[in-house]
Parts: sequence; C-alpha cells; structure tokens
Amino acid sequence: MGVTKLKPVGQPWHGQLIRFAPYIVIGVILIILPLFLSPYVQCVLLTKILIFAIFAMSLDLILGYTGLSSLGHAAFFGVGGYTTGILIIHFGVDTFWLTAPLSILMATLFAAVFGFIALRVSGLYFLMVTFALGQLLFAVAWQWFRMTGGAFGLKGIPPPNLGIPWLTFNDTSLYYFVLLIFIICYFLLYRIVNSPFGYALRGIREDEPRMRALGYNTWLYKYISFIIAGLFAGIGGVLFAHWNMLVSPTHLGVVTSSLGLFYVIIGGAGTLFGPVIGSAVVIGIEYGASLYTPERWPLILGALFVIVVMFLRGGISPHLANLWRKVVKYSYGSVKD
Amino acid sequence: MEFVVISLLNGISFGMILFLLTIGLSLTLGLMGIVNLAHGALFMVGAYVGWTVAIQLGLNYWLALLLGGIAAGLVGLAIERGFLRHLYMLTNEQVMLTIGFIYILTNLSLWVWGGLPRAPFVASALSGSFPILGGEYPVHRMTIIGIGLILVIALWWLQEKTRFGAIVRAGMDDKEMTIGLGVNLERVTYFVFFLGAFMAGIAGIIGAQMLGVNLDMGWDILLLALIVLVVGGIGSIQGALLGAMVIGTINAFGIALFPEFAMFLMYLVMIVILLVKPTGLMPRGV
Amino acid sequence: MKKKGLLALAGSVCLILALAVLPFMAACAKPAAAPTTEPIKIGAIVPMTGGLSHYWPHTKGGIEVALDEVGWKVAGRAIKVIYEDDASFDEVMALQKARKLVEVDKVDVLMGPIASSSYLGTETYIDVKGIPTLAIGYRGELKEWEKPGWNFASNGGLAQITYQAGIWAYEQGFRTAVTMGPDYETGYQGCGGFADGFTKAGGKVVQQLWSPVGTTDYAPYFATMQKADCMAMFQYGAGVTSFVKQWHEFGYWDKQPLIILINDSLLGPSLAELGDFTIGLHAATNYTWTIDNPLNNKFVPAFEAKTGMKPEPPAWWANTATKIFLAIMEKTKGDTTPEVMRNALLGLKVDSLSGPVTFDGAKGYSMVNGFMTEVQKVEGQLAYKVIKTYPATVNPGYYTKP
Repeated sequence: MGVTKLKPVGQPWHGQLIRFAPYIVIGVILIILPLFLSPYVQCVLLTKILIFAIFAMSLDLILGYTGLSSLGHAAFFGVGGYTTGILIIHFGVDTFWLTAPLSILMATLFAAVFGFIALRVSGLYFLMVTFALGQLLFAVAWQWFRMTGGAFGLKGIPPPNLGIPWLTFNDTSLYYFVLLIFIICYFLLYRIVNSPFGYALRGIREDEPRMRALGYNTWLYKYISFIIAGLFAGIGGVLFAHWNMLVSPTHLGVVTSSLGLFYVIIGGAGTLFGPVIGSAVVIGIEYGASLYTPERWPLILGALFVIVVMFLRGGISPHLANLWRKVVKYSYGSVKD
Repeated sequence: MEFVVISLLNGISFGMILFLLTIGLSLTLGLMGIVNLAHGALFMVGAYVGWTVAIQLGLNYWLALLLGGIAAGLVGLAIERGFLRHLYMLTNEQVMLTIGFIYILTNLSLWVWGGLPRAPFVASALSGSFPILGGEYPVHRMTIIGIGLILVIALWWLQEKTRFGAIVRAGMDDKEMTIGLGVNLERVTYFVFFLGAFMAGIAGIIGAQMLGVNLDMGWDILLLALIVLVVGGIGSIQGALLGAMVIGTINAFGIALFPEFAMFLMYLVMIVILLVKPTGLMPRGV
Repeated sequence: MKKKGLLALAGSVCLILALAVLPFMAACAKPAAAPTTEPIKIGAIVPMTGGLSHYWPHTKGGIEVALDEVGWKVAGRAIKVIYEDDASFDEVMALQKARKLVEVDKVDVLMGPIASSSYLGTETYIDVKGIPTLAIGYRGELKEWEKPGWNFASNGGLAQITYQAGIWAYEQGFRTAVTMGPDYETGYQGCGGFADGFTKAGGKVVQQLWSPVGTTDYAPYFATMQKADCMAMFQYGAGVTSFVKQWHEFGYWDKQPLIILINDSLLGPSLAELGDFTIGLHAATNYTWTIDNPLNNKFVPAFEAKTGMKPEPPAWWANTATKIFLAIMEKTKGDTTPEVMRNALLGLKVDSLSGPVTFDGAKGYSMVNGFMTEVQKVEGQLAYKVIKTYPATVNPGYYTKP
C-alpha cells in the first residue's frame, strides 16, 4: 500500500516519452511508410485518409467537443475545394499561396453566415437547418454551370503550385505535403481543444444551462467553434481539390456530410485522434471491401455504423486509449515510491 | 384555369403521400422522442414488397397494399425494438444508427430486387383516366386523395375519440404522469411505432402508382418528409397534414412555374419556418 | 520496474507498427516485368451498385461473350478482365479504382466508367498517365473530342442518335415539338441534338422542359406544357418508366406522340411492366437485340444462355469496346505499348453487333449506326424493332443549355 506521492515535474525521461509515444510512433510510421508502398496505396489511400481526417477532425470540433450535430458540414469542405478550382480555372490564379488562403477565407465566411442562421435553433432542428443549407449550396453548385461546372463540376485542377521552381508534385511528394499540413492542423486543433476555449466548449456540450449560469456567452462560443470548424473543413477542401483534380456538387452535399459523421462517430467523437482513426478504418475497409465484395460495400458500411453505435459506444478511439492506458499502467503501475 | 386546377390536384395527391409517410415519423418523434431517419427506407421497402406481391406474384393489389404495409411495419418495429430503444434520449446516436440502416436497407433491396427501377403499378380497378377541363387525369391520383382523406379521418378518430388515442396524447404531453397513472405506455408506444412504419409502407405502395419503385427512394423522400415535419410541426395529425399539403402544393406549383428553382424553394421555405417559427405551424400543443 | 517499462514500451511499439503496416503490406505491389507471353489485362470500371446497377449484368455479358468467341486469347496472349465498382456516379471512387487498376493491377487498357460524372473523375488521370481507355457508353456530352487523347469514344456520342431522331420526327410530319430532359449537361446534349436536327429539317421546338435529376413525378410539368405535334423525351434512370406511364395516363399518348430519345433506360423488362399500350412507341437508339445481322444473330442466343436475359444497349457498348480492343491487339500483334495501341486505333474499322464502327482519323471519335425503332411484340415479348437505319452517324456538335 503505502502513501502515493504526487510525482513532481522531474519524472524519469521515459515517463514523458510514454505520453507522446503514440504520436511519435505513428508520426514516424506515416513518414517512412511510402518507402514500402506502391504509389497507389500511398497516394490514393493514405492521402485520402489524411485529407478526410482533417475534415473529420473539423467536424469533431463542433460535434464531439461542442455537442452540435451537423448534417451540412461538407458545405465548407466543398466551398474550400470549389474556390480553389474556380480561382485556378476561371481566374487563372495559379499560385497556392493565393488560392489556399482565399479558399480558406471563403469557407470561413460561409461558416460565419451559415452558423449565424443555424445557431438560432438547436438539437434536431439544428441538424435539419444545417442539412437544408448544405443541400441549398449543392443545388446552387449544380445550377451555376458557368462558375461551378454544373453537375459535372470543375475538372483539371492541377497539384499545388508553390512557386518553387524545382518542385513539381508527384504522388509521393503530394502525400508528404498533405502529411505536413495534416500535422500542422492536428497541432493547431490540439492547442484549441486543450485551451480554456476548448474546455468551455466541452462544458457547453455537457451542460449548457450551467455554463450560461456561470456567465459564459454560450451562443458566442458555439458560433466561434462553428466558424473554426468551417475553416479547417475548408483546408481539407483545398487539399481535396488538388488531390482529386475534380470538385463536384457531391462534395457539398449530405452524402459527404454524413460520411464525415461516420468517420467521427466510428473513430470516437470528443477526441482528436478519433476522427483520424475513423477515417483510416472506414477508408481502409472500403478498399478491402472493394477487393472482395464491391456490391455489398454500402451494406458493410451501414452495418459497421450500427455496430459501432450500439456496442462501441464512443467509437474506437476511447477503447484504444483505454488499452494504451492499461499498457502504461502495467509498466508504470506503481510509480508510487 | 386548367393549369391551376391540375396543379392543385397534383399538389394535393402528392401531399397525401407525404402525409402518410410523415405521420409515422411525427408521432414517434412526438411520443417517443425517437428520430428514425430510416423511415424513408421503410417507404421503399413497403413499395418493393408491394411490387413483388402485385406484379411478380400477380396477386390482388389490395393484398399487396396490406402486405407491403405490414412488411414495412415489421422492419420498422425490428429496428426500434432491437436497436433504437437502447438509445433512449441519445438523438445523435439515433441519427447515426438510422442513417446506417438506410444504407443497409437500400443495399439489401439491391440484393433482393436488383437495380432496375420498377415501373409505376396501379390496381386494375383504378387504372384509367377521366376527362377534366379538356385533358385527362388519372383515376388513381384522385383515389390517392380519397384514400388519404379516409386515413386522415380514421387517424383523427383514433386520436381524439378512442382511449388509445387519449393515452397517446397524454403520453406526449406528460410521460411520467401517464405512466404514473398505471397506463402501459410501452405497449402503446410500440403499437404507434408499428403503425407509423405501416403507414410509411402503405405510402410507398400508393406512391408507387406515381413514382414507381427504385433504390433512391430511401433518401429522396426522407428529405421531403423532414421538410414537412419542420413546416407542419411535430406530434399532431393536423400539423403533418398541413405541412404535407403546403409542401405538396408548393412543389406542384413551383415546378410548373419555375422548374429550375423548385428545389431551392423548398429548402428556403424550410429555413424560413425554422427561423421564424421553429416548432412548425401546428405542432402538438397548439 | 524500469526494465519492465521499457519492455512494455518496446512491445507496444512493435505491436502498433505491425498493426499499422500489415494491412498495407497486403496492397504492396511487386514490380512487374512484362514479357509478351504474360496475359493482357483489361481493367473495367462498372456500376455494380447505385442507380445504374442494372447495366452491370449486361456489361459483363457483353464483354464475356466477345471474349468467349475468341477463347479469351488474342495474338497468342491470354486475356484477363478485372472489374471494379464506381457506385454508378461516384467520381472519387471511379478515380480511385482507376488508379488501383493501373498501378496495383497493372492493367494494359481500361474500359469505362459508364456515367459521365464518373468518367470525368478519371479523365485527367487517364490523359496524364497515358492509359488507352475504351469508353463504355456515349461520350458526346463532353467537350474537346477533337484531340486524340487517351480516351476513345468507342460507342459514339449522344447527340449522334438524337440528332437523327429530330430529322426523323420532321419526316413523320411533325412540325412542332416539346422536349423534356434532365437539367444537366447530358440532358442538354441529348435534347440539344434533337432540337438541332428537328430545327434544321424545318421544324420548330416550341418549348424545352428541364427536370431535376431523379424526378419521377412529371405531372407538375404537364400543367405548363405547351401543346405541340410531338414530345421528345430524354432521361436516364427511374424517371423514364414513370414518364411513359404518366404520359399515357394524362391522355397525351395519342394527341402528342412520344419519341424516346434514348432507350437505355426503357429496357425490355420495363416495357413488359408498362404493358401493351407501349406498342407503337418510337425510340432512337444504337442497339436493340432484334437487329438482324449474322453477328447479332449469333450473339443474342449466346448472351441469353449466359445471363438469362435479352441483351440491352449496355451489352452492345461493352461488346463493341471489347471488339475494338481485340482488333487493336490483332493489329499490334500483342504489343501493349500505349502509343502503339493508340496508333492502331486511329482509322480502325470494326464490325459490331449493330454494324460497322469506324474511328475517324485524328479524333478520338467513332462513327456508329443509329436507329429509329418502334416497340412491337417480338417472340412474344415487347421489344424495339428497327424501322430506319442511319449509317455512320457523327456527333453534330456540343450543346449547352439554351
């Protein structure tokens, strides 16, 4: 038994390391993996996973951390992508350093407008407003042929032009580029959710009336979180446009939005790593299913969803995190004396 | 003049289908607080089963109607008993779960019935058209209105004039009190759920007279049902009927007058109502 | 303690590494040397799920009967086909599958995807990678067919057929027409072709109606429709059968004859479901199983034996694409170098089930036979019978929304 002393700052160095070990390990894996893989896997699968992980993380900010269920988040993802496409193809602006910030700005603006409208209601109604707004944008993109390419969308979007003469993108370099941006986004979101702002959001998710009683302007917090979520979704959209070479109305609509929900819920809402895992698992299984039972993929996806909601409440990530904690406890169980 | 009359008939008949579909959703939401987005998929399942009975097996149309409704009712009940009831009060999870079921039911339908869209099918007694204002109008569309009205009256009678209806209304207004009074609310709610799903299946088969049967029905009709719910309000027959009629008529006139913007119109109406009167025009309690 | 901790750490790291890497190892591709006795691989992107999934059995049947006829060999090499699903319209998935087929499976030639939206997802990639791709389905609704890229329109274009229908309509005595089509590029192309042909022949298109994709209830459109001598309708998917039924129910069938501009979505089984009132309906198409020539007469029973169905246009699309592929391979003597394959294609002529298919010199285009057909009872079932043949039609242009 004995008395458990609180460990002071001077932990053994590998104590600190344990905490960040998962990040380091996975980071290393992500960096060296391309060396072993064919371009298809690293370009299509891994890059797709990372891009949609960014999208899913942005959705998790409002869903998992703030408690707002949105069926229209793909709107900002799509706006980011379309702005990039429109700037490059219609206006001939081809430098990434202009198209990316402008696209992200547009996505953020849309989030500001949509958020203002949607946050007038809550719960199921919020879900329906966000869905309606997303579909509205879908319909606009579909009809506005001259600008958006109509039903077929904008094609021929080139890889990012960074203005660096010796750098032209191929599958591998595009992957590393996306990886870099992913790491930056992860880091930024990590700081946001672990800041006082982030903790306030969690408080709002848990018990909004109480937060209001404590003097928080909960509407403002929700609004800002919605805008930030839109911003990061826009980043995902920009990367998507360059990677997919095509943006179409589908990427604004409810199908993509609900896929985002899938990634977040399956991976684990309310954690930052959850959406990343969700994205990896769903896209990975999608690839696997396409090899063996392509006709049954939607059935598998639906079943996966049902199973996770029913039995893996909270998603995969918390269960993995528990596992990890057990490992740490096992090795450092009695850091007591 | 002809245009107005025809559009009105179109709007009301389509609105009736929407009503039959949405009433189940509205009651289960109002009474049990359950969100079942797979309701649209039940519409589709009912239509497919009805198609099998009426066309593939060549049996009596009204039998097909009944069997399709029952099939949808059973599937809906299975989803509720097996899954939804464990997610009491967890709206997000219910949304996710039922979206998952849309995927499942749609793919299963693909597996069983194949991908070829099915032609609209009508009871032989109802096939044929009658002349109206220089043109012709199909008999079955008029009977959709007729059947719809009969069901509206029946449901209204059920809600207002029977003990069962009283229990349902009491349960919506004050659940604890109702249970406290010794009422077996659970059994009532299951029957309401079954009834709602059954209506969705019936709506699917009746709707198939105009729309045919295909795999996109699960999502397409769901969108419209949600709009009807928002506009009409949750938990009341009057609300569902009003919402359905409003949306049906806007749809009919909108498409006729500005075909490209008809869809926009619907979403705009929904957004306006949500901002101005979020609970809808005639929710329970009005 | 410390040792145990480090051991646990090491163990966990290994575990994570294994878990993360293993699934990806499965997808690892070995570099392939390609000696000329290796099988030739065709990668086909097809709609196994989604709105066009009823085309899948026809597509598969069309390809396989063509390959059965040559014993799955050409120029001394075996042939292998790998199918991938694009969920009918999902362009992200189509591109993903195209990449997989090219980079993992190392196919020599691609076929499909069918829907224009899916196809657009893959177009840039195909041109960049330089993989010869044979279209399954029409490719006329997209611009830039003048350049000989890597995408070959094996089945002709959309407006190729509908344009002829316009001329035919005028020849029947119709002087005014209303068109109805889905509100997107494919619709504009289909209806535009008809409008152009009809107008050039001397007729007048008094109204063009556009409905959102996926419409199944056309009654609202009838309310504002103008009266005309005929109605030219173009649509894919579920809407067609509903439209035909509703057109009949609302009493327009005899007053304003219907012309179906493309019959790919009004297949035989749908006609059967609609009933005998469809006898006499006219449709423009590139293929019907009732076409009477030696090749088709041999094909239909073989197809029926394999699939249990009568072949529909998607079967012809796929079959023609396969025949073109075989002809290319014969010409190149089994050489699958992309440049060599493309050179063999230009100016190629192939006998397809509907007649000759010729590739224009410098364009990625093909000239195919177009037909006007009429619904009649053939062998006890409702089917399309050819009433006029338009040989070697060419896409008259690219149409946008008027």
